[in-house]
Amino acid sequence: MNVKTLLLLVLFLTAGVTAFSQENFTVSGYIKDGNNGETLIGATVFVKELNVGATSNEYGFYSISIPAGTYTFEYAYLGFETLAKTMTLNANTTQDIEMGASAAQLAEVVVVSEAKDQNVSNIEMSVNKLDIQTIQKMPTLLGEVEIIRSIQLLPGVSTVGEGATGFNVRGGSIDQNLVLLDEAPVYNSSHLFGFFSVFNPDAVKDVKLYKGGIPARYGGRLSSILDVRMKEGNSKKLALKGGIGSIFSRFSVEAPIVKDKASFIVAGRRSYIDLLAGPFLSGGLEGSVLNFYDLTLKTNYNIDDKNRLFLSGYFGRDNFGFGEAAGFNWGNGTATLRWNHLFSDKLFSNITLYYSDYDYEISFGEDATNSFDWNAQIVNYSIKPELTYFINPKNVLRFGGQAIIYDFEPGNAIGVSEGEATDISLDKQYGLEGGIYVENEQDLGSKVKINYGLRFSLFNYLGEGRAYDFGDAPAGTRRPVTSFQDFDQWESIQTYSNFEPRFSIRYQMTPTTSIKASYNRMAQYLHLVSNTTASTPVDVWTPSTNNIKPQLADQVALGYFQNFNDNLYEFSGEIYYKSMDNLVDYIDGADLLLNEFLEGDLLTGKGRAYGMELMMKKNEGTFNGWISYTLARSERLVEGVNDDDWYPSRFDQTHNLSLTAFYEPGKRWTFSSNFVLISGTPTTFPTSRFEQQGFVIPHNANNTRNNVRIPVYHRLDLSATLEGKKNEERRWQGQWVFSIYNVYSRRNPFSIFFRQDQNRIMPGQAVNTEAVRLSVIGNFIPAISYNFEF
Amino acid sequence: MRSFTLLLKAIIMITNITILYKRRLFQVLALLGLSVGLWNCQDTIDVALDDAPQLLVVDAWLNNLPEAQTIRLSLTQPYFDNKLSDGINDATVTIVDDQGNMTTFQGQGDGNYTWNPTGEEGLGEVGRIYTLNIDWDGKTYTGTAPMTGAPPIDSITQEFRVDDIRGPDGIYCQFFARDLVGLGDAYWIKTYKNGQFLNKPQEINLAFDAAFAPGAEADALIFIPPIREGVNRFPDPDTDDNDEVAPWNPGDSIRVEIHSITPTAFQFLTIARDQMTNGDNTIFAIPLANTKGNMKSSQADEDVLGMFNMAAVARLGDRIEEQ
Repeated sequence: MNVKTLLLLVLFLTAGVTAFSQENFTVSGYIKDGNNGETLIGATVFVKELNVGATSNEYGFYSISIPAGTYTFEYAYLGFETLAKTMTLNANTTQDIEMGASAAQLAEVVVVSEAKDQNVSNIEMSVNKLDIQTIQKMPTLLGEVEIIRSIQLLPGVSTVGEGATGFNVRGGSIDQNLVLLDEAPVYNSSHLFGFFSVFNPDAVKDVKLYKGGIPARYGGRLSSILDVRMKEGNSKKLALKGGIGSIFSRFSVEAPIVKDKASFIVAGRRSYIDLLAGPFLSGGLEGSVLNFYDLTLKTNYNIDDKNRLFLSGYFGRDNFGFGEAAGFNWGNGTATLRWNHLFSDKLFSNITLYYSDYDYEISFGEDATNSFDWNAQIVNYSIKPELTYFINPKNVLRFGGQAIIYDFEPGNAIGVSEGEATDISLDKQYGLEGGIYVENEQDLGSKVKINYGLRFSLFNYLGEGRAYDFGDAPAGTRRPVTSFQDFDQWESIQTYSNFEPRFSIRYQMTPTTSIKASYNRMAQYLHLVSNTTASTPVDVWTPSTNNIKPQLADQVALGYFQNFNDNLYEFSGEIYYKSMDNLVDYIDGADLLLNEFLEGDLLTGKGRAYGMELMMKKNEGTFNGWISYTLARSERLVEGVNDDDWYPSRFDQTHNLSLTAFYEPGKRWTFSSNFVLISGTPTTFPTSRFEQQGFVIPHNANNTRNNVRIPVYHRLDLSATLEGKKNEERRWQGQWVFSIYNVYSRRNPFSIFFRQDQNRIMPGQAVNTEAVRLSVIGNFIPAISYNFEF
Repeated sequence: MRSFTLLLKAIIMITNITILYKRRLFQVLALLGLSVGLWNCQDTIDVALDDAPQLLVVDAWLNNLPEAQTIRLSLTQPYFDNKLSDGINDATVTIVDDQGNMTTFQGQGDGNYTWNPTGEEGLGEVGRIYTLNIDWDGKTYTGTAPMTGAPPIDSITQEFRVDDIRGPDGIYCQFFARDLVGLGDAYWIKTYKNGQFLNKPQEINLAFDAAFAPGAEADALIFIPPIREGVNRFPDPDTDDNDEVAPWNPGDSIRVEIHSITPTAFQFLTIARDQMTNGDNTIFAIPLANTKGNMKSSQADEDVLGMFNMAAVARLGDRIEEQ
């Protein structure tokens, strides 16, 4: 019935708005980068005479329907000169545009320097976009270009500490971010426990982070969507790129298969510490394996004007092994097949099929009679049809759906002890997630624009499997199993569904100022089970079950946007409030791995997060960059924790200031710097100690949680990039990058922990206890890397 | 660092293994001169802690060996108060079993209350349920614990192992025993080297059935290797007994005791050990958690810390020989 209602709504909306669109003609096409043929996402088309416009979608497609006449179309994209093209419209017209190509090829096009006021005029708020060129200029740890670390410099984005995996958006935990690589979710976005992310910068085209005002087409996580789009591959000519850094060596090849019709990109990276270190390792370290690598590939084929196929994939792995004694590896794999089809020049469709998995494997033991093998995995398959109907310049209607099948292997473990095998594997779990949505972006006159939508999501926890019921226990303690029931394959164990309304509005007061507001409700059916400060690679994703309810969030945001000095400076200020329900927490002493009765160790809580985010950005000039400041609070309320009172989450940061600056004095040198200043994150200190059998145990007599803050974090990073001498004759272009991370060697605390004297205590001797500051990076780290293009 | 025990515990405390590897990785990075040991540094610092009320602590881990049994009553002290706790001396301490047999513990004037065996008869019997009663300061504190069985130790093996990730060349021991039939048995395996109890927090060797936790449901098996190997000491960083030397030398004596504990005591010790060793988890630390004991006060809102457990003990000793 709900689905039917939604379909009716779609029909009604469509019928309603098409009534206005008689006798119009449509101009549509793809907007591309003329240098390499890559489609441009979010490029704008503006019809000067009518004061209406359109934006290219994720595939570079735009469509605008207007009455017959002669108009000036202005095509704009950040980093390119704006093109103006005059056309007389008396029929539907296909107009592909290549930006930035030499003027000769585009005789009919005039280059204009028009205002770039997108941040003010578009409806998006709580959205940050970082183009890969900017990310590549930023100073980084060990000179490795890093996407996840870069977005941590944006307002509203934080991390629990140096080297921790993932990121926190507006007070949400790391599992509340949907990290998409060409639409396939990536379940663990880190290499090396969190120091580097899985995204190879050479293969990335566009990075967009939605922190709020999330449109109805996205769903499945509470706090954010990180939409990473891969390059299609140069469709004009062969391009080779590579680099030698301190950690990775990178190499990528991109080339047309059939010029302007099909192209591909293959990009790989591998760490080579173990190769270089091999000869120096001896004794217990001999034969060690310590590496991580990833391979990203994509190809596309333009079947004809109306059909285009894309196939992309990612495969990456971290390997750690010490001879026969122990081995540990983990990694993600994704594959995405997409088919763009134009039903008409106004109706664009895309169907995505994807596969994504994350798994890890641990093994111990020198022989077959004593060993331990453990692995876990999450696999999912999805189909996602999406349609965009460019009804008229005032309405863009999107609708579609998604179905995901999940296959969880929470832990397979077989221990062999003196030839006696014990299988302590957990049952597999299955889930089906579905969603349908409709959203319309509508212009209500020149000042007001709205986007309203509704998503209906559904989750079905499926057999085969055993579902447990748990009894009551005092708040914050383990609940005992009372009964269980076995279910057959595909039998429904528990179903949840949610309506998720979404709404955004922009009110443009002047050409350079606007106010925006948004509301979104999000539902999340997957949960990362992790109670450590930084998440580990062995943390397991669990579905919503008969005992674990889906997480829900409601968020409202209000923003003010203004550009100054002919759009040279962009200012944005936003405030938000987010309330969250059914958040997962853990009992003291929770046993989270290989535990058949895990659900009995989980607690449910509420969360609230609110704050203010300010950002001032200068896009152009020799001296450019941005300042971002966030004032925020992120709190939790869990029965049985902190005396049932609200407490700050482990990643709560009151103040977070970051300054990213670039200085580009000439053609060859670029200097850049980051400075960050962040309030200490909260933690819990004991108050007392007591003795049991000679051991000294810490105790917090006040039962508080996260009541103390560790000292302030601040850090300065610098880098300088030297481009090789430009020589048009020569294809080889080299670039040296010199960087220093943590310039003034501050020992920023990651945490403070408490321990007794590390040496053995004699009976009857008093035990000394102490507090220890842990700094992940305790000094400055210089690095040099070399990049080339051919 | 050659953290032999750490590696073993890592099978279940898998966060530890990530740390171990991470430490190793940093060493390799350091080898290359990339970071020259500048990563991951730890400094002892001064911090201010909140004030807290003093609470009664009951330290009553008794067993059925024919030896003197001691219950200690004390008060909590501020965390950085680096001295022995103050004992409580004016309490009355008794144990009653489920057949009404009462045993009185005599105050020694230093917070300890003891019971001495007459002859070869130890305290308690497997299958009985015991209640500890403490009268102090006008209030009564009680806790109940059954005495469950401990499986016999079949053997202790000695093996010469060559240098690998787990530790340097040298002799390593294992004990062999089989968990009692039926789910829900918990044990604290204590090791004595040359008569001295291995008393580092990292050396607390616990088993639930034959494995690490109730969720594993490892019933009636031989204890799994990391528990068997948990009898090898954790190295002492600043002494001659550091991670450059093996845990056992020829001539050393080894004694292994399996103490049966209740599931509540198992959970208590698990939290205690995790909290005392949380620093080893570096960036993967778990939140601070309080232990939950089994002593209750007659005054409803009063917290009492500590544990009352009645253990049956199985033990075996051996002398280390040249391998």
